Amino acid sequence: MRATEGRARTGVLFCSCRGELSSGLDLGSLKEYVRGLPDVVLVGETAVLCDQNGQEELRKAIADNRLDRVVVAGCTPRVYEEMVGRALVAAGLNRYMLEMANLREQCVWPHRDRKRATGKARLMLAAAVARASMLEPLHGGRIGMKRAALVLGGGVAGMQAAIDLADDGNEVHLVERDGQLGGRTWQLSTTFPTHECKPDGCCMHYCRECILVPKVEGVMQHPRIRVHLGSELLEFGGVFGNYTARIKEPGGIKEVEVGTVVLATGSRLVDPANLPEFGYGVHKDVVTFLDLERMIVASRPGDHELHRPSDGKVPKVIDFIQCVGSRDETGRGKAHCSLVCCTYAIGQAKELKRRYPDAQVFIHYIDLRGPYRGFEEHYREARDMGIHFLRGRVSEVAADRDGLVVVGEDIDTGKLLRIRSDLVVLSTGQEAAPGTEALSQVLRVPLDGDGFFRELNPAFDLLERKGIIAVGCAAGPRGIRYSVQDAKAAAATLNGLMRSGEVPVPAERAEADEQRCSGCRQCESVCPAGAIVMKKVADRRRGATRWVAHVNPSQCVSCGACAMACPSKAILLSNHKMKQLWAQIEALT
Amino acid sequence: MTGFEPKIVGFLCNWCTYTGADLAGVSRFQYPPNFIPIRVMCSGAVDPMYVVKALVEGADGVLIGGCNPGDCHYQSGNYKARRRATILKQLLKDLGLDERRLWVRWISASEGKKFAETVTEFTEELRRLGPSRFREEWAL
Repeated sequence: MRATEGRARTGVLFCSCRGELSSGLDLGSLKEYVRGLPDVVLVGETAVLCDQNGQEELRKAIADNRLDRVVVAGCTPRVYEEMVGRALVAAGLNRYMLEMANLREQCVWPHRDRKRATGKARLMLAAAVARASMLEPLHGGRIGMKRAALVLGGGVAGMQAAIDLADDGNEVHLVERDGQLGGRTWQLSTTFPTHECKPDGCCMHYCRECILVPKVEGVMQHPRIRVHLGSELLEFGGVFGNYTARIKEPGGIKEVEVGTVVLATGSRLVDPANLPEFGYGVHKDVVTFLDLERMIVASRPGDHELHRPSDGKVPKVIDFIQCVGSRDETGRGKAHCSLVCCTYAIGQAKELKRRYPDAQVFIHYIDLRGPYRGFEEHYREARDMGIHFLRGRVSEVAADRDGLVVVGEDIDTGKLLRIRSDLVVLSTGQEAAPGTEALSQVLRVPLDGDGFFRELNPAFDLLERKGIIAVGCAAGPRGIRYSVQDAKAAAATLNGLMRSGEVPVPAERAEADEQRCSGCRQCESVCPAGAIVMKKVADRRRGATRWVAHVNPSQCVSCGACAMACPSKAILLSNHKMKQLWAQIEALT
Repeated sequence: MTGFEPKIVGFLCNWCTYTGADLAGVSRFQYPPNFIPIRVMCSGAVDPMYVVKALVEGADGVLIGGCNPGDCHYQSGNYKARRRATILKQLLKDLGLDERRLWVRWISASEGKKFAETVTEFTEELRRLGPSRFREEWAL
């Protein structure tokens, strides 16, 4: 506020970063230079700004000199802007009355020539001070939010998210394309890490029957979860905190209002018919791992024998082929590793070996990958049981009068292999579920290079974007346990958001000036977040109404695309106004 | 052109190239100090007027740095920047500016080395081209 009355009072604080800055720059001459820049009323120096003493110094400097804005000359704003901003707030200033001159990362460290680095630092400081003079206080806010969530996908991840969200008091709409819940997990006989169901021995209650059935029932019977089976998302609109979704149900169309969304749409298995050398769909005894799961499940009641598809015989030689459609550089499959296939193939091999100790079981692999706790023990146990691990690609699954022949090589011994096999199991990889791309457009969630939903930050994933989080295999292949963890983390994040009943509105956002807006809708078409809507206003001059752009503050992602596109400069990004950029450029050149 | 040191203004997107430039510093990759950064939220928010302004004010070259194609934090900002830069280059050419003075490069947050190399190459190119006369020709 003080800024608007008369001149700005800018304080420039050098953080020498324990000598880092002074080691490569002539700080004395820089301080002298900055003193002569417009609006600068204080030039100070501290050794370390990022500890409590440094911030206390900053607070004191602001108070003693009645500063209304601060330029910190030191490190990168990418890391320290938040923290320094808090110190400003503590001193009674608006957090956005701060500009940082990145002299450490982008001047001292990459330039050894002290004289020239100092010259560059002068320009950077001039630009920072010029921009600071143009800063205005910014204010965020909060708007009301629906305490309801939409969960797309009813596999393990979707069910877990639904339960955790509903337990926290939120209404949940769980939409599942299939006629039943459970996803791919529902089709599995046993799961890692036990991969065993011993009704007569030490049952660990880890299998589908013992874990998944209660979970499915928990979802179906939950008073706050509404399950929409055989349904799909038809349309999606509204703004963060108050989304509307139209769901196509078998009985018609239902519209729901939600505050947040969990994408748990899973993945699909690569179709092995794309890789004709394995003979899937040609030879009956070439099956996928999921077919084998069904065979195992089918064999549990009755005679407890595994019957192969062609003639019902019990297979005595079984070959598992890994990386079918994964780690494929030919373009017929996927380039990525599907992460779970080594684990489940070993589990299935053990199950077969337990039932038929005389059977010969081979696993053909490129590399064994099991990024899970317990995988090593899982693998060693399999080896001790006599399962043969053969490193090398299988080139073909052929057939003659006597049955199947697996043709490949064993890289470790250098031998070509021709194994007469009774049953070939393909460990098929995963790719993005059908409809993922369409969903990404409707919900404005980007995809990664492999076609899965992209996590906002690859290192610290699961950050929500406008109340929308992708979990489980929808964000890339992962095991059951990790999918469930994803779901729990997502639900915890969204619960926290919804518990407040309010959506944060960013202070750094686009703002439209109704007076200047000509209603051309350029901004609407370039906005990646769907934040711009047209609204009708009274045009006093012409005594009529006209359409102007309005930015939904909670929906804005602060990219500035609209400000750039606006021909009448009616939309500005609050923290990157044209006059600020202009001042920076003029100071630089 | 002995002794000529060009001045480069860079509009760097907050999420990729600016962070890549930080990484270049953290990794101590060296590049000529001819380059001065301006942080913007997205390469798609770089108004062609900023570029023209920098050139008219005396920059010898301008670099627009954004995320790699398909990697934009805002999904499509870098594509907008790319389309815009194509037109802008043509326009600048018509105004008598060598189009080699405007570079658009995609440098991710993890490509510190690439950032340093890009600035080094650009500086060398501008040293070869000599000072820009755009300022004298177009300054009002």
